[in-house]
Amino acid sequence: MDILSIEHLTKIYGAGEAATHALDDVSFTVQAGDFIAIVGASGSGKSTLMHLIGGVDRPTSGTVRMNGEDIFKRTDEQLAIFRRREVGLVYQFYNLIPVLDVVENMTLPVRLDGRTVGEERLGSLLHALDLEGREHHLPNQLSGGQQQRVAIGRALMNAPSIVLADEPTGNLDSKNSAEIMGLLCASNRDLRQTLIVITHDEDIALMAHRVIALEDGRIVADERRG
Amino acid sequence: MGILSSFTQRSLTRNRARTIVSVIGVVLSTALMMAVFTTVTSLESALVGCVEAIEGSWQIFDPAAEEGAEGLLASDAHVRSAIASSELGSSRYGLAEDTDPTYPLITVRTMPRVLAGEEEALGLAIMPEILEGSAPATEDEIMLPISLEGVVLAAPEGAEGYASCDGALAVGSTIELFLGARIGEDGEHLTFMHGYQDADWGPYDRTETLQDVRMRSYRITGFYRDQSFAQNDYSGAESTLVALTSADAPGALHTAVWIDTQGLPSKDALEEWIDPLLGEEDYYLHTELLTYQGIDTSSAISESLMIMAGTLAAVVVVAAASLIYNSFAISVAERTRQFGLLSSLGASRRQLRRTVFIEALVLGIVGIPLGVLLGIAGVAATLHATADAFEYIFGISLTGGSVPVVVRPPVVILIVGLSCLVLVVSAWIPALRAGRVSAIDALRQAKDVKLDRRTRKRLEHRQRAGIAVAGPSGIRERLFGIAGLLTTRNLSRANSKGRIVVASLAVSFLLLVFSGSIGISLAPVTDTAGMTYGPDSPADIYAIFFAEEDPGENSSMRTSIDRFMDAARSIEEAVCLGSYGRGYAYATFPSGIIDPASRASIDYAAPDPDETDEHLWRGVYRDGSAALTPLVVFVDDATWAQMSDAAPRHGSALLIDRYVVSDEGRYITAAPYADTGTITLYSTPAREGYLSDGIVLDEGGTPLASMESLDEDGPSGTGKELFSLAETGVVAEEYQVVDLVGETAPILLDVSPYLTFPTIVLPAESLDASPVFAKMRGEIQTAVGYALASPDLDPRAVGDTLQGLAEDLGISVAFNNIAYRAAGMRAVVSMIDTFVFLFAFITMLIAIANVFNTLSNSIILRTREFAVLQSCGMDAGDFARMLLLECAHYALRGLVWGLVLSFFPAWLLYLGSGVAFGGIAFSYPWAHALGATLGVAAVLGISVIYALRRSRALNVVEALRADAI
Repeated sequence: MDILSIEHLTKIYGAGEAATHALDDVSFTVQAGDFIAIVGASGSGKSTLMHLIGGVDRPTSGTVRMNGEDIFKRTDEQLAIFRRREVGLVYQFYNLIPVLDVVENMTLPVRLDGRTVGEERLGSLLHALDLEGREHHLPNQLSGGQQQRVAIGRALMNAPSIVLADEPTGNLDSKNSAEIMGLLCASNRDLRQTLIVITHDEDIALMAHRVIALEDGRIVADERRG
Repeated sequence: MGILSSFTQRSLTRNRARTIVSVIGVVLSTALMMAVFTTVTSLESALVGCVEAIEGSWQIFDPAAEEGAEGLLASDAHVRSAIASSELGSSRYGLAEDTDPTYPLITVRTMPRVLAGEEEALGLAIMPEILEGSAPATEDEIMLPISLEGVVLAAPEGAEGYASCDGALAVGSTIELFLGARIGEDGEHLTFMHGYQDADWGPYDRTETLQDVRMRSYRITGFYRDQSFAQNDYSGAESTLVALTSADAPGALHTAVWIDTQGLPSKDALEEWIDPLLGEEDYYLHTELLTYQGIDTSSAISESLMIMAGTLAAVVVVAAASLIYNSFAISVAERTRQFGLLSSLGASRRQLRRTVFIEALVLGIVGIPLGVLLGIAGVAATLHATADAFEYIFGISLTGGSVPVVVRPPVVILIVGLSCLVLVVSAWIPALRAGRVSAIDALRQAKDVKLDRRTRKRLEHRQRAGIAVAGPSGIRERLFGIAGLLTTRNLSRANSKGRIVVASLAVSFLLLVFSGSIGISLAPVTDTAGMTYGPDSPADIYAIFFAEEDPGENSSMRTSIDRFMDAARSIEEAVCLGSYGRGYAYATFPSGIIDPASRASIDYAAPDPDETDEHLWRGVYRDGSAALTPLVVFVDDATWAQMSDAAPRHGSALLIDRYVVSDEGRYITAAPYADTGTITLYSTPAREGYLSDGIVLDEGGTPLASMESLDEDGPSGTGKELFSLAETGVVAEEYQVVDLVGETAPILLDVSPYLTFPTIVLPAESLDASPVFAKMRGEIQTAVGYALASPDLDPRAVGDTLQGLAEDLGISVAFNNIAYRAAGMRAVVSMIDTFVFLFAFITMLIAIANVFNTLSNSIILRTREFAVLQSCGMDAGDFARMLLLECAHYALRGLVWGLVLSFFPAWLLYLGSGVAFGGIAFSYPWAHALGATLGVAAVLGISVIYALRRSRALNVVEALRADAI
């Protein structure tokens, strides 16, 4: 079953001669529970694609359908709800709120949704992310790997159907990288969460079920691996 | 250009809004400081100029300097300029006409000799204005005051030693003077400063004599305008006429000197220097001039001005410093990561500090000159707009129509220095902070969050207790959900940004309240103006005639008034409202005239009804008869006609039948009369050894004089004694009351006719015709009231026209130009209002710039944080709520601090103004505080809206690219 259907997605920055085609007529579908790696050189449009799928940015043309519904037909308000309930975003530079502690950062999407935090869910996530004992530390009291684990916790907290990660290990050493990828893979495997990872790292690409290669905003390869 | 300069330049260009607001802040604060100081120097200079023009530029004046003083003064380095004039002697004179001369002596003085300085030394005193002929050039020549021109001199019969001249005094004729030294009864030498001492002539009970009299002939070369003694004009004298001979004429009895000094900065230094030269207490200081020159700072006004100016300057400096500090603090905070990166690339602390100072330099180079120019232009415009007020204050027409702007180079240097200092001080702390940025901390944004001890403890406690999810932690979170939580966390955990906002809000509040305090401290001036020259007076201009002590047969005062009033009818700009003179007399009323029912309300006039000997007292008696002290008003025929149809003739009287009495705070209007009738007026009783208590009626209705005996200490306290009218020389005259008048002529409102009981109106001729007023006549003034024909007319011009008319007629009359004074005071009040408004307006602009800059920038600084929140699904409503909550919190804290802090300048200003206007209770400008609160709220609202718009325009994708440095 296709959870995500991307059709003729185009994003142009600037206008006239200065216009840059960050994405140029990209189309593909994603099945629920899939693990996709998107690879490509710098400026190939990877991050733009992720922001469009995550509803953070709007395309110049084309559609992103989540469970058959075009997300860009939603109002800004509805799109905000979409972001907090249906996707989880993980960035290379963690992007935690500096004044909030670990738990507060992790539970941000739940609280934004006005719901109460499930203690059990939080506990298991903290355990899985090895953040027990750090619950009330602020981001600047944590190492890079820990901060990224908090960011993953924030992305997973609402049990979204899709997790989008933009170079999640780009800022980490190999040990931390392996741990982070282990966590993401586990959530994909155990919880059947769809995982889309943008990466430069071949090892990570090899873990994925499917690898889409972008070049100058176009898909140049789309391989499903064993 | 070095890399750091270019780095700074880019930073300034990139943050254009903040740069512009900062430059505006520097411009405004420099302009305001410049304006405060330039106003002071311009006004001081105008005051000095004004005093010099009216009274001369002398600082020290000695009417009789000791011998040898002239030589010392001429060679003393502290003397900028000095003049001297010697008194050669005084002569008696008499007039051929059968009148006494105004002054009994002619004193001969020399024209001024310049002891030090050039020709401008003659400006030390007001030089005589030659109206005819020329100044005396030799010791045999003389110039006389114009009042002697054409006068024929004559000695009293049989007297010797009086001035003489063949024929009338004229240019070319020779006058013989018998000059002697004026010696007092105790042998002391008298100068032109002393009044003429003669028991028959003036207030003195001593008699002076002229000694060593010798005859001296002078040829008259000219006549000059008589000068004023009160202003120490060159030839002004207390009670002699002054004739002037050449500067080098020998035979000095006394020498007067006028001195201007240099290099003596204070009154103490001045006195210390001059005391040995002229002798302690022998000289006069020109206090007014010394005050305006800043040498004498002892006067209360001067002290008030100093405190007020100091407070103004301090507030402006604080405001400017806070604005500029904010700007730099934000600029540095915003670039912490940049500084960290630069530091990691090898920039030294000094280099980092320098980037901030370069920024300050750029702001200063652009802002300070603009501010200086704007300040000067602003003062020029304001002084021009308020020229009327200054013309009124200075009492002269200002050259060029307004107070000239005086810009002193030291003031410009001071302001530029002060502005630079403010810039450097404001940039100092942020620059130090920039220099201390650690590369790692900055890149990791470790310092963005700083916990106070309480918050850290709470977090540690939660950690130890193993509390995973804390419930809603405060009222904000309970009420506003996630927006409330974020606000709470930001406020308790974010670094100093919040404090900057709170501080700038507090300063803004303080500035706005401060302008209110200025208004309050100046209120006594404006209030006094309103009370004294308010719109209550029925007439705009009064011509006031003083009666002569003994008008003789032909009653010349009334004739003068009538001539003046007749002539003034031709002046279309002024409408005559009538004339009145007023005095008091004693009066008795037979029963039947005063309404018995009104007796109770005329409380003060009625003796206690149970008093057995009520007839010892004046008042309304039980049988309705009365002995009272009425206000008597004498009116011209036209004014009389406004009140009554009866003909105005001597022997007729009108009674004002309306009396307003205050009864425990309520005002009751009574009509105190029942009928007309015949009343009697009496002159004041007089008897040796007794004090008059007026006229009373005995039980039989006979008028008697009530007197109290005097002993050495005054009234003996033995009680009243009654005498017949004949025994006390009382004159009585009957008047027929022809009308009871409920409404007086408007001009009579001046004498508050309804507040006095009884008020009797008599025709003007009665003042001259009645023997009752014979003794009083000399004390009664008559005022003729004129209204301006149109409110657009210039009251001063109309006043001048009336005065010119009186001069043409040769009538002696004084003018009270109420309309001009009211216009002048209105101009002064509006000038004060203008200055207060301008100050408040500019401080408000600074405050707005301050708040806006701080708030919008601190919000913009957090773009990345906002982008993350948006990417996590925060919607616009939550976002706006969060910003509003944060701002409301800042506003509240800023207002509380502002409220507390604003008491200090308000109190300082109160102390400043309290010195000059004693007895004023301290009051806090609550209205301004409310206005400031609303203003701060409005600026906050605008800043939030601006920040929201900026954050909406924000590209989330861009903002999330955290590597963008």
